[in-house]
Amino acid sequence: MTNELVDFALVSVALLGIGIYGLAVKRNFIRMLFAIEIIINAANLNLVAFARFLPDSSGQTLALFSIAIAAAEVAVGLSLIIVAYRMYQNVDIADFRSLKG
Amino acid sequence: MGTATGIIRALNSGVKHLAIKRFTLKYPEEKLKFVGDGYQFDPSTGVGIAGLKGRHMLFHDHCTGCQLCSIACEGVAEAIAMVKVPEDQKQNKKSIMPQIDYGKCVFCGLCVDACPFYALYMTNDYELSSFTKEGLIYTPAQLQVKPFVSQDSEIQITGLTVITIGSAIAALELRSLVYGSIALMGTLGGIAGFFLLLDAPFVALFQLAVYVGSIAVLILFTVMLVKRELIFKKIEDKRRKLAGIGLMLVVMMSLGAVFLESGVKTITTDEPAVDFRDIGTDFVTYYWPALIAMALVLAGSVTGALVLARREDVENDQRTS
Repeated sequence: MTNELVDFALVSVALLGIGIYGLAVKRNFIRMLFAIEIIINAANLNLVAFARFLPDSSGQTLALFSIAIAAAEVAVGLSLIIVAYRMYQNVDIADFRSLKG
Repeated sequence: MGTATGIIRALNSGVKHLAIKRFTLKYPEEKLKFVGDGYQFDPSTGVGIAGLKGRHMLFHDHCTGCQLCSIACEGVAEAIAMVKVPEDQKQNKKSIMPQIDYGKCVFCGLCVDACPFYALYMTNDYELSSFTKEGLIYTPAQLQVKPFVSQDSEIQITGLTVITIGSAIAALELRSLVYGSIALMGTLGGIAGFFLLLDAPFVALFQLAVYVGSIAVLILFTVMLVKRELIFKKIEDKRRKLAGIGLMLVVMMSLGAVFLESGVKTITTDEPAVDFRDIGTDFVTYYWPALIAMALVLAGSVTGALVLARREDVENDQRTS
């Protein structure tokens, strides 16, 4: 391994930052889902990177779990998007107000 | 006059060299970067594969003990001696294998050309210095070890970083949601590349299969369901955007500073990567309850997603009828 752990950690920090920016700024439901995916991937990258440098197999195991759960999360998220889109004919989260008094 | 022009020319040359990249490496810290795995020879076609002629690598399961490499070395460097293989190691018919004395070797590569069994190659390892003469003599067991030579992985990590972060920004900022989701595929694929660099090929393939193969395509299909004008509509206000960029910078700088200041910076490892079989063992031994829980969660979420998407259908039908 010539690459240092800090390289991977910094990439993951950058991805986390971009994801947080997307989550804070975008009001498009689908874009927010993109941002969530980017954050999850940053976390996975960190897990695998630290696991490589320990080295320990449980980091990779955890990353696999995380990827699988993210798949479930995306499936539910997308179906929520579809439902909301059918109800409001829009993807702007500011318009989704049916749970708001 | 001659003196003045000389001074000007010298200054000019010096200034020019300020701007260009230096040609030398700071050797122990920086190493040469090679393309490929070193000089090899394919005896069936009789073609050599170009590469650095460094330390040899001997494949014990191919070596037959035919001594052709040793014969090729006679009259050149006399560096190869055939020695007896210890009992506890892999044997061949004659139970002899080459031992190379790098005090004599001239790195001509003729022994590699001579080997008809794909057993002897040369590698990129050129750092062979030793404190004793005996340390330069490499036994078959030492020749078997694949040398650790820094490949061009730093270039790879820079390229991957550019791809991953660039497409992450593109995914959020591109006007069209369709292009955005394709850019998201780039990010996810880039992460898979990072996993490969981190010697986690299993996780990389899983990432490719699950994320790039299914999630990204699922997102793409959902985007296609959305009205055309909404795909291109950008909904955000300027002040919010500035605040978001500020938040991003704060997060990046604080976390980055924490990483750079902490001991993480000095961590490197020479230890071999985790075998992916260990992950399989982990899954079925220690983590089996989690595996079952995950299976249930996945099944539940898929059912939930179906129910969510379908129920609305029914209401739509009722509304229209």
